[in-house]
Amino acid sequence: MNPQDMKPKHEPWYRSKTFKRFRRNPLAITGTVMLIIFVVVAFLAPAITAPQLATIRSARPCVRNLGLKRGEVVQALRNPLKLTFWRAAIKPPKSCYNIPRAGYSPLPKPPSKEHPFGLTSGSYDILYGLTWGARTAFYIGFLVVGISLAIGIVIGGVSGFLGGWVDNLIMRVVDVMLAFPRLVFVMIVSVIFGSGLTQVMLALAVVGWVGYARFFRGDILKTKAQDFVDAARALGSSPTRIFFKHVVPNSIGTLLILASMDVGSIVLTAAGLSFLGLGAPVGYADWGQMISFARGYILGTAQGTPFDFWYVWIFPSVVLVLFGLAWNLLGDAVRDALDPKS
Amino acid sequence: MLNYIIRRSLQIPMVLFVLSLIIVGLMQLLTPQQRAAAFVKSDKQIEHLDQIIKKYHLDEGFLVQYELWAREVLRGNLGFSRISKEPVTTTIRKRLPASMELALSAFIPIVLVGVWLGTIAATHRDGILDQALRVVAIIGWSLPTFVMAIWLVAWVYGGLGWFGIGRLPNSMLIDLATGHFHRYTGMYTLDGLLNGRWDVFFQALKRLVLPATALVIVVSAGIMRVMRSSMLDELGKDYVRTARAKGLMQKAVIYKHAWRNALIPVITMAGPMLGRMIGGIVVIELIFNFPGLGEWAAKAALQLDMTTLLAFVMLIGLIMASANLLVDIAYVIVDPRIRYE
Amino acid sequence: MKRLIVLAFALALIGAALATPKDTYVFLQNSTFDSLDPVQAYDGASIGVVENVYETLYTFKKGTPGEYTPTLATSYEVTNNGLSYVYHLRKGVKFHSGNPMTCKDVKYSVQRNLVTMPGDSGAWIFGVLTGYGNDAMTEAKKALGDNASQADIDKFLDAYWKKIEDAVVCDDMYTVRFNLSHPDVAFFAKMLFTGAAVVDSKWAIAHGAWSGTEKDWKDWIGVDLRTGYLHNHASGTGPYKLVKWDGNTVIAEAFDGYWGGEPAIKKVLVQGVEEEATRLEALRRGDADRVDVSNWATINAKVKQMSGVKVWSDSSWSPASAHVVFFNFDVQGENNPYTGSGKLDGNGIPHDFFTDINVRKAFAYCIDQDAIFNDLFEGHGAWYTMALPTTWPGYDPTIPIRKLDLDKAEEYFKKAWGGKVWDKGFKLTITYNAGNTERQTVAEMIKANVESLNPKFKIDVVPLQWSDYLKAARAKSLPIWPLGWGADYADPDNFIHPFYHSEGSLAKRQSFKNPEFDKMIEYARTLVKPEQQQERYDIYKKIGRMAYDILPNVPYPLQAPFIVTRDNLKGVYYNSMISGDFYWKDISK
Repeated sequence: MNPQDMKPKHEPWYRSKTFKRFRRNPLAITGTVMLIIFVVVAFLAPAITAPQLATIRSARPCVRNLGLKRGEVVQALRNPLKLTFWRAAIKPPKSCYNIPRAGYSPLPKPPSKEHPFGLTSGSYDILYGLTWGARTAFYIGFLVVGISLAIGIVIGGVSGFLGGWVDNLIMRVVDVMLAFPRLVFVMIVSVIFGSGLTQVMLALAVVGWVGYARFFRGDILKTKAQDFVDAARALGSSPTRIFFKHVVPNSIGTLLILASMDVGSIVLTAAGLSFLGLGAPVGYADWGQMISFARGYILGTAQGTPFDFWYVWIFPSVVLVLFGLAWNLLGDAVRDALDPKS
Repeated sequence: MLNYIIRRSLQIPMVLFVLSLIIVGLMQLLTPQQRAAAFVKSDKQIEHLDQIIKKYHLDEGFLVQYELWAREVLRGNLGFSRISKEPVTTTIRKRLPASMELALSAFIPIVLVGVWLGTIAATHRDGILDQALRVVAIIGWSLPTFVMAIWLVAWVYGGLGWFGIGRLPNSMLIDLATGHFHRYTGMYTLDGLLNGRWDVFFQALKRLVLPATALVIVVSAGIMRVMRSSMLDELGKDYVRTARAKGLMQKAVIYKHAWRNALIPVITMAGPMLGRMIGGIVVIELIFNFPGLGEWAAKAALQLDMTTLLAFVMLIGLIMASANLLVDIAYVIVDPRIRYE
Repeated sequence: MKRLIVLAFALALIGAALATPKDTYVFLQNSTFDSLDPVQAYDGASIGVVENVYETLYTFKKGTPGEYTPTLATSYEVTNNGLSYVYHLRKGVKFHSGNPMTCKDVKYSVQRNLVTMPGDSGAWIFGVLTGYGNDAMTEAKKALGDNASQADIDKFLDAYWKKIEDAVVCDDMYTVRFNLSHPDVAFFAKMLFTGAAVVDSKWAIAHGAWSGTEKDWKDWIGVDLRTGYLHNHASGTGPYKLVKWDGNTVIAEAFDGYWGGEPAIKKVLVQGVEEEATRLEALRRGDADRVDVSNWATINAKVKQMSGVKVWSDSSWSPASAHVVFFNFDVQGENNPYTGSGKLDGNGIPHDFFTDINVRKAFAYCIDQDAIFNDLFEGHGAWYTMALPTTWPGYDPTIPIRKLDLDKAEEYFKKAWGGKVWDKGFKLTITYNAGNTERQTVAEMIKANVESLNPKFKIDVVPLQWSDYLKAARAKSLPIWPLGWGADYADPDNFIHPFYHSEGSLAKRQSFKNPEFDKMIEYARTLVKPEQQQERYDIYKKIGRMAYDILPNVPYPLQAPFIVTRDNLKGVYYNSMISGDFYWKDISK
């Protein structure tokens, strides 16, 4: 008998029981809808903030790098038929990630027509920071998860495939790193790597791979013990071939899904670091920093007036929490669907 | 069992060794000038930068630096903290009680809230209450500590004017420093009671409420989820069904048998929970102006003070490793089915 | 009943805050303390405590920085052509420990600076006594090279000790004579720096500090005094004695044996609280009597809304510091990340880019000084025409200031490097210290204005963490950066030399060298007699005027000083040379 036939049968994913369970979960749907909104906002960030780009002086480098003149900004960025619309949405110039400042005053200004969400401390436009910050959030989340997943798969794979003392050693290191508080570890590593978005992302990845490595290894060991692998071995396939042909494809699917659910928590951690002053440079569109701008204004002006500057802290913190919530709702539902027992 | 404990205990120094290698190794990625950041505080001292680098051996290689540090540590000298401007051991002695006070005051509510809500969720499986608690847990899980802390400061402290931030009112600090107040434990609530100073006790407790609440909200969600699923596991087991069939009152069954067994997996959560708590404490101490170990370590990390960082990492490593060991031991004690070779 | 108890408990927890008592002064500041050892203390927070616990021979007069009053001395005279300063000490002064203060203590205190000279302290200020600005070992290595024999080093050290020994001499129990290695017009002002504060020598020696003799002086060369006893213990002659330094908090109480009479405030607490909102909240609730506030915008928007709070300010107050934008005349470092390609090809700048006066002028015209003054400081600022505090002698207010003028900037950019700058464009990075919003604003202003002139001009603004800043400053790799400088002692030389002399600590970092400036500054240092002072000040004015054309740096406005307190605090004044703006003993409630 061909070992392939012994593999559990695959049905189309949309007809699977797992997906059905997922679809029937109202929380899953809520999470998905919220995420879709975030994706749309992130994608349309240039179009949404076109008026700010057109009017605020310090947005000029961005406008210029897009090859636009000041008068035509709104039209060009809001018309899907124009090439600039797609260019700005898909690959905007780096200078566009700098939040434009409408002046240099350290005081926040309440929402107005030109600045619908108001200006935060330092006269940075809040709407701009939040919409472009959504792009930064997705960027950080996916890239960090991607890198840590790659590291995790390699190390976990080596560990599970080789076994023996290598496995033992790797798992001990993993234990040490898992036991250590993540935030503290990332803080140390990112300070040493230097400030900057890339550095913080690297730090997050360097610390983040451990969980994946352990999961992947465990999954490999489980698959290895299954009948079809035994059969393949009996038919004389080389261990390497078995590993890549049978074991890896079986284990990797679940890992991918589970890892992608970590995007939310990665973004939250990154925001926390940014709040502490580690991460993107001042003025870069980034939620953690938007909250950090608000730090001096959460108590309002006098007793019992925490809402005098409500816009500087409520908008960014709510957006950040909703983003985390969306991912966690989704993640919870996915885990539920994969493992119906819990 | 004893064998296992001994073997695991011997692993702790290994863990600390690896951690210290990692930190010192990471510091080698920096230039001597960057490593001087914690030693030079003002622009004016740049004139003497080279002199300072030489003095503190910042331009030495990995091995020399590690040796310099390790030799002192083996003598019991953890070095001088550039952040608190005193020997590291002195700072730990002064600040550990503050962080412990915070952690302890949050610990019991965390466990109670987590276990209680988890039980409720499981007994109302798929009901409205379960669904609502589930959403609450996910929200709690999604709240970054610093956002939670900011909201509490703004609404409760700023808006309502309740509770307080800091450790004690300044006028009381002066009073205690110049009068006769014995610091037995370093925790103001306990010391207040031991000295018979109710005002100190109340003021200290008042200032613990908000930071502890932030911790409870952030940490207990995880416990609740674990409690719920392990409780469901137990309720699905044969002995519960048998008990039910025998006609015992449902409540008695749940609490007497299932509940106790369901607590076992919660114990395994202690490790990750402690980790999350320590991470939370770092941020919370910064926001609530609560000078404990976390605030100290955060500053050390931001200013690249290697001596302080190493000491902090060693300490946390020690705490986490011992906690994990204790969890494993406790696991065996509560669940005799588990054996370690 | 049970419910009542719970309710009472809850109310106690919520209850109102405590106001500080009448004899207590609580100050929440934005920074924490570095060291309370007078020799080691070199930051505002530490000196703010040291200046109230210890005393110098003379001190600053309340509200007038240029005038002095005798404290531990009663009078002084300059002899030997400005090479000797003789101080007559006050009798009957006691230290906190009860020991009487004599010449021995003064001698010990000043010599402790010369012996230890930690690189990260202000001890270099007293280098004029020995002629060396570094500790003995560093000087030995500098003079003899790295591989000098032990015998040579010992010989050098012996000679060094001889100089320390001769620098301070006790003529009798209450007369101390300082012998300078060369005339120094600022010596009197330097003796007001807290490094020269008089320490209780008997007490210090008993607690393991340097013995005051040649016997163990070598053990103390360049030592980090933060590990010593005086780091967190004190016995001075000041009106307050240190009770405790615990973490971010220093607590002091009035010294009942103070020679100048007991002060009104009996207990003092100073705490470093980094979060401004927390400080303001404590002030509002009456749990602090004074707090640090970062800027006028916060004062106007928040502090002025509070009841029971007073903002002290006066148009005559002026800070003892200067802020400028520096140009680097010779940017160094290979693969320098701040200068792009390193060539004038539109993607970078050459190392000598700023040697062309037209480039410097063009940049100067792009700094929007009015916006700094009006937006950032909300109109509460001081204009600077040169890098010298505006109320100090030698400052010339008639020198013009270059304000934002994009036409002129364009004109100079077109002239720069024979027109090549305008044709090819350039790319460079302006850096500032991360977290400093004022410098960030200046940097972004320059970027916005320069880039608006020509699409080929590209400027990046990059915040530098302290560690990276140290690295770059040491390597002299920054092309252009804003920086501030605060006074160590109240003499214009403390600004003119670092900013304008080629050996000055700031000018050195930008490789600025102007032989004429050097000659004038060195000459001014020889003008030590009182009747020569006017001539000296005129030289500084001339340098200021010349600097307008030579443009080694561009001074920009500074925020006007203010003090925020509860409104029941009386006797507050502002002296820019006092770290805490006023002495604790002068206030009351």
